[in-house]
Amino acid sequence: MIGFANESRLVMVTHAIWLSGIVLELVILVRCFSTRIFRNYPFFCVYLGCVFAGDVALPYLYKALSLNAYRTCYWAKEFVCVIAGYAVVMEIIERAFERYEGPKKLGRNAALVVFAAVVGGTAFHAALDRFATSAYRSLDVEVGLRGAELILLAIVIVVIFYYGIPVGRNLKGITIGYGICTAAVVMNEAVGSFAGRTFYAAFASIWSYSYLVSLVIWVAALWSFEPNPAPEGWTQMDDDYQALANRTRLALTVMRGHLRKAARP
Amino acid sequence: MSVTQLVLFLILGAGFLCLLYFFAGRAGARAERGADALLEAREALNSLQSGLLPPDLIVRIFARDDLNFITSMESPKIEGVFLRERRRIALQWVAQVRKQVLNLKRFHSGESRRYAQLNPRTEIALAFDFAALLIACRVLQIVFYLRGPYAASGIVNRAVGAAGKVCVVSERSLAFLRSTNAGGLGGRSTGGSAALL
Repeated sequence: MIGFANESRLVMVTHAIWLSGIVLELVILVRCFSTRIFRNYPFFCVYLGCVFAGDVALPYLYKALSLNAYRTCYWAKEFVCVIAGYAVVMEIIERAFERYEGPKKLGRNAALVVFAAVVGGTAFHAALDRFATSAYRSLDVEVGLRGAELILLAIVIVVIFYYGIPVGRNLKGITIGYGICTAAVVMNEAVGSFAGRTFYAAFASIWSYSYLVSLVIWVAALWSFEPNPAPEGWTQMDDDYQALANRTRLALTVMRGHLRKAARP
Repeated sequence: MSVTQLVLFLILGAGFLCLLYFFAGRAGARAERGADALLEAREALNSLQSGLLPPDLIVRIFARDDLNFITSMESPKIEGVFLRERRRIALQWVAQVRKQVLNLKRFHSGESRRYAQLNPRTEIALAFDFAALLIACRVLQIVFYLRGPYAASGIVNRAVGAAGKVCVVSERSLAFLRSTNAGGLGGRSTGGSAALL
C-alpha cells in the first residue's frame, strides 16, 4: 500500500515536472519570438522548439505506436536535439566572440578538433561494439556526443575568462542553462549506460530537475533582449600579430632555455 | 561503458558544473582598454622590473648574514621577532609580485584579443608560462608561511628569474604599442629593462 502511494506520488511529480517544463518552454519561445532574441539566437530557438515538440508529441506516440516504432521516434528526436545542440554551441561561440576575430578562430578551431575527435572515437567504438543492443549503443553514442558538447562549452568559457570577453545577460543565461542541462544529460546517461535501467530511472529524475532549473534560468535571462556589451573605441588589428608572435616566440625560446637551466643548476 | 569511462564522464560533468559556477558568479564585463590601461600596464611592468625584482632587494630580504648576526646574539626572543618580520616582508613581496604578474596577464590577454591572426600555440604557451609563475608564487607563499623566509631561497631565485623572463615577453609585446601610442607611453618606458634576460 505504502509502495503504491509512493509510486503514485512519483508519477504525479513526474507529470508535474513534465507539464511545468512544457509551459516554461512555451513561455521562453513566446518571449524569444516577441523580442529580438529570435533574430540573434535562431539556433537556440530551433533547439528549444525541437525539445518542445518532442516533449509534447512523444507521450502520445508512446500510446499510439508500437514499442519499436516509439524507440525509433525517440532516438530520431534525440539525434535531432544533439545536432541542434551543436548548433547552439556554435552560436554561443559566434555571439560571444562576435567582435573578437582571434579568440573566435581559436574557439572555432578547438571546437572542430574536439568534435572530430569525439565523434570519430564514438563512431569507431560503436562500430566495434557489435554485441550491444541498439538502444544501449545509441545511449553510448549520445553520451559521447554530449560529452564533446560539454568539452566545447568548457573551452568557450575558458577562452571567455582568459581574454576577459564581456558577455551579455542573454548569452550568459543561454550558456549557463544549456551547460547545466548538458552536464546533467552526460552524467545521467553515463550512469544509465553503465548501470542499466534501474539506476537510469533514479537518475532520470535528477535530470528532470536540472532541466527545470535550466528552463527557469532561460526564462529569467531571455525575458527581454540585451545585446552583448559593445566595446568603445575598439580597433580590430589584422596585420601586426605575426610580428608580435615572432617576438614572443623568440622570447619564449630564451625563456625555455633559462627554465631548463633553473631546473638543472 | 567501462568503469573508467563512467568515472571520466562523471568527473567531466562535475568539473564543468564547477566551471559554470564561477562563470555565473563572474563580475560584469571588463571595460575596454584605452590609453589609461596601457599606462597601467606599463606601470605594472616598470614596477615588476624596477621596484620588485632588483637583485639587491631580493638579496637583502633573504640575506643569511642578517639571520647569522641575530643568531649570534643568542636571544631567542629577538630571533623570533626577526623571523616573524622577515616572513611578513617576504609574504608581502610575493603578494606584490603575484599582483603585478596578474596585471600583466590581464594586459596581455586584453591586447592580444584584438588580433585577428592569433596564434593558438603561442597563446597557449604564454598562458602556461603565466600559470606556472602564478603557481610558483602561491607555492612560495605557502613555504614562507609554514617554514619561514629562509626555507626556499632556491625557489625564490627561480621565481625571480621566471618573473624577469615574463617581463621580457611583455616588454616585447609592448614594443609594437610604443610605436602606435608613442605620445602616451614615451615618458614612462624603461629602455634597459631587457637586461633582466
